[in-house]
Amino acid sequence: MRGLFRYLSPFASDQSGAASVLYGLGGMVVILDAGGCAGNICGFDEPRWFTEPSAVYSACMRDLDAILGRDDRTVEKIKKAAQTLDAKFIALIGTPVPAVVGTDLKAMGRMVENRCGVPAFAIDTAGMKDYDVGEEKAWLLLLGMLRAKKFPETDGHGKVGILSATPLNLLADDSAQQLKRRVEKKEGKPAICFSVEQGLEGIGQMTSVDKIIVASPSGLRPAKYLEKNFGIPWETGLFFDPLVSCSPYASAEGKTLILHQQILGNSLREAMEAGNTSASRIDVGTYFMAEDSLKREGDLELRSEADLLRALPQYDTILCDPVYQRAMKDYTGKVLTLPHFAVSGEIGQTAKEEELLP
Amino acid sequence: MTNMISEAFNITVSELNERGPKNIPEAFIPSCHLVYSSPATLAYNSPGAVGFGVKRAGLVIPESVMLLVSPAACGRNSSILSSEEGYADRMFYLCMDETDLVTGRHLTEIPQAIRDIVEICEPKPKAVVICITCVDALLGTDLERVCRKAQEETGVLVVPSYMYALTREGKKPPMVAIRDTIYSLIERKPVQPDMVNLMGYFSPLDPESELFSLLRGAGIHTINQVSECKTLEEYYELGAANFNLVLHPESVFAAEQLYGRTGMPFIEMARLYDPDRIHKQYRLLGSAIGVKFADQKPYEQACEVREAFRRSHSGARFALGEMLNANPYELACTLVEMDMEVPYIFSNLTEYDFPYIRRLAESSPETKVYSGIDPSMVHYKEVEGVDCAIGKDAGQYVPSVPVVEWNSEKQPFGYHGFCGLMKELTEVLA
Repeated sequence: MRGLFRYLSPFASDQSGAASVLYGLGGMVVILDAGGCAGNICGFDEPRWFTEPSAVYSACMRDLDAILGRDDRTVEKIKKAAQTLDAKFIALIGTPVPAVVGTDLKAMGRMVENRCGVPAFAIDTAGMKDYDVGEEKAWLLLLGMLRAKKFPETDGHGKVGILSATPLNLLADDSAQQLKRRVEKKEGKPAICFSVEQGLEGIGQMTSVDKIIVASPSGLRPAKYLEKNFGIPWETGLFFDPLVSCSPYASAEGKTLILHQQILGNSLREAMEAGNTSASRIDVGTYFMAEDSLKREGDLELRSEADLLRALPQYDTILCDPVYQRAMKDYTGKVLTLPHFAVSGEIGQTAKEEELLP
Repeated sequence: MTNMISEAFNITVSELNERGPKNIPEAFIPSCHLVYSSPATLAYNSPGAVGFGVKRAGLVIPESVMLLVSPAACGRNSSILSSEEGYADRMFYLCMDETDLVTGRHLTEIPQAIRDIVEICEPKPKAVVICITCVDALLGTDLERVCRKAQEETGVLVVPSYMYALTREGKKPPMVAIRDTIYSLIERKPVQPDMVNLMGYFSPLDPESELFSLLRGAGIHTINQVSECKTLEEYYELGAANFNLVLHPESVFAAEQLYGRTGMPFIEMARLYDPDRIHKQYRLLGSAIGVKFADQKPYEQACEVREAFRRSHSGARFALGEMLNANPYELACTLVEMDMEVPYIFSNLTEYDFPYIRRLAESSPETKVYSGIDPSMVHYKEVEGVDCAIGKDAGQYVPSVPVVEWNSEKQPFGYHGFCGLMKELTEVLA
């Protein structure tokens, strides 16, 4: 049945994805909710919340705010809170509440900008799509702000930029740093993980870096935009080293399925094929965005639990997040845990990538 | 920006007392400002958060499972918490999309979803709790009707429940509403004069609490708690209780509803830490039900513990949070009246706390109160001059001192609760 989860549980939603991109940029992020959405975003989808606090707030809307469309009241609350911060921008993140009442989020963003005197924008997420959709929207809006000169452009020449390496997309807490190290080694020049480091100044370099590396499909449209408008070439990948025999994934055998976001899945497949494993064939499956040009024959785009249950018997080994394993009680093949923060959050959280890919 | 505020808002108890319950500062009223969800506040400022949020609380109904019908975002915390807290196999999700907002299609799919869930559950659930969220609050969904229809179609007991964060400051906020849901299936049975229901908590009261022996000593032999019911049949037995003893203010609404629906009377009791006031409360309860509680011995023991703690730790300085099994203002009064100091309290504040604020204004007027959810808390820096933090959140606000979290799911109560807290404080202050 469409939308029914009997074994799995909901993945990180678009609003969490948008907040994740904006998290470390030095802005003020306002979740347009009643309280619960901000709690979910901060407490369950943002591992940095416990170690690197950021100015993320709930608009704390009440029923009459929504029913009567009292956007001006919310804007006043934002203005008041903004006076306690030196925010470089204000981002409004949509949730199911404004989606139901049809709030004009763009207009609200303009109101906030006018009242608060700092650049502001709104992201039209509704908590009903997956995190990568929200990430993509956030990246495109950041590029729009650069294009409109609302954010300063800074010099990125001589660097490689990494797009969409947010915690929701990767394997471990230090994955973004490990990816940066591998990219610098591969490209022979300094790299910058946009949004993960250097805040808004780093974002300013997006239009002038020498090359873009896309770490997850939510960065593909932004990368294509940068190529079209600024002539910046891009490629996808996480460039894992060939799999060594002490990796937990080296024990994969027979026909193997990797379940994750597409670009991580592809990169792990390449590492397994180049390294030590008995897997005879490796497919990549995903519940998230999948670019046709990055697919191989046999790769899977999953939409429902039934899709996963149908696919299971075809594989001898499955690499997947612990949440997917709830649907595998009757599966007799080998299951190897491959954490995906957007799926299981802290349940599968791993501190160091080398624990998985030594 | 001009006039930048770079300090976390705080106010003394003395100032709060002068302002009075009708003039509480906006910092303590969530809907008046943006809410800063610091790690210390996450567990309680979201209706579906850590511990017993709405969803886990709804599952207190025995032999039930829950179907959350909502946008995916609303179920995200349960994805993680249900695994960590052991109820993942009782949580199911029907995720809405934008089309559902317009057509209401998700509501028509509930009966089939129930059938699909029941099919895979072992043992088969006897009740399915349907939980809806802000979206359906705004759509005006008549969930009771939807549940009646689903029950007719599936033959399974279907119970409506609501996680409406939008109504948190209303008459029936989410944690009040879910308590109402939990007791909504009780029907009046022939009254057993020696039976009482303890209402208020989602997990059992500490069985060591003297409340049990005192009630039994007064002839009340059967003491029910919904969280101890293993089967729906046991749950239905709650309907035979002589009266309900309400131990948490958020259960008063549910008790009133039960009274209105079944005629079951109820009596309120507060969780207190001051042994003298606990003693007085037992006297009052005894008068109300026409018995005399033999609490002299535990009362004297608690007084001895109090004196011993006073002798050993007079002048010790405590910071109190609100993620603890106590009202922080009442606990602060108790500690200050034991010659301790409470320089800081991190807690929300409502008009119901003002009796304690008035008491505290007499004994510790300079105590500073922080509102954990105020936007200015983004500037909070660890306070100094504290020897021990009490409360899980207080431990995060004052991380450099020992902490007694005091928020176990085994609910402390009465003299035994007081003595237990003193024991833990003694251990960390040693």
